[in-house]
Amino acid sequence: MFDLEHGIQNWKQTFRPDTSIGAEGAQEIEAHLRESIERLQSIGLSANEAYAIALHRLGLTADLESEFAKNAPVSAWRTRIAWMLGGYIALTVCHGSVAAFTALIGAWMAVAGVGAANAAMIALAVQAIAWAGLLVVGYRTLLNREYASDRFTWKWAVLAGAVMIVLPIVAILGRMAQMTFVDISWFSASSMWLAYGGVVVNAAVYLSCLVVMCRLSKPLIAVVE
Amino acid sequence: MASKELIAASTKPLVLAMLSRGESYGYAIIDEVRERSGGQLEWSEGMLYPVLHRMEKEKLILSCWKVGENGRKRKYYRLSASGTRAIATERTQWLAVHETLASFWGVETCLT
Repeated sequence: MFDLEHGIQNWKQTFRPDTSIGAEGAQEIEAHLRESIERLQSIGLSANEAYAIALHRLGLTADLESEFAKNAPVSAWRTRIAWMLGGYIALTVCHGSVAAFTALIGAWMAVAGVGAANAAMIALAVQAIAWAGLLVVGYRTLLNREYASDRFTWKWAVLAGAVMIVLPIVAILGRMAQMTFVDISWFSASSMWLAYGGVVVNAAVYLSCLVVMCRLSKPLIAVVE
Repeated sequence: MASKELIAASTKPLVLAMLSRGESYGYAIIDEVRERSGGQLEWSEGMLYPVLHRMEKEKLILSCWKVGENGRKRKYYRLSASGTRAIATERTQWLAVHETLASFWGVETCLT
């Protein structure tokens, strides 16, 4: 059974994250699409047929976006830079939280008396899992976002600022706790493992970021079910 | 069926002419142009919106959101004072093209 609302939601997914159409333009075009579907249904077409024809008449979202982009070339760049800065803040917060989390786990392992090599392995695993979790959450959030709510509000700015101060402090406290419980040789023994493993974790995070970016920058094709 | 370039070039004067008859919204504009041209001018519907936004930015038209008779919110457009003046310029230019072509092809000039 074809669900019209679901279809329209699918169509909305064809808008790029940095769409040049803008929230108001998107609302306007959505109103157009809905009216078009309604009229086609009123002459006896099924919801599925009306949806398919209305979408076809509307044209491809990518074409629309390139037409809209001609209206405001400067603003397109402003949006891109805003996304880049947002990405920088998001990555800094992610990095900080992974570091703080690893430091806390490290402190726990020092108290529990885990051996240096094992502790390094566990720290790497924790890092990998934390990054994977953050990437999945980020990917899902961006995929299901509402184009009208692409706003970095004061609430988020204050939260990000607070988190960026709190997380390094947590990381430092974790490390200090570690140092009070274990000998310096424990650190030197685990540091080699962490250094080599860190390369692997970083490379994996980098590759995952590339995959996420590729998938997000490609608009999903509207599916007529 | 008009070519893509001709459709793109004629969108602005058509919108101005259409709105000189009173305010309207995207869907109705497309509908009326299709009807009046006897299907000769078939726009890719979405393409009207960037043009409307550009014309609004150029202060040729003004817009406001209103609830239409079907209970749905629509963005209505109307001519501004400079839009009304722009009609005269567009008209002169299009008639010049029309008359030149007509002088070659022997079509009756019936628009003035």
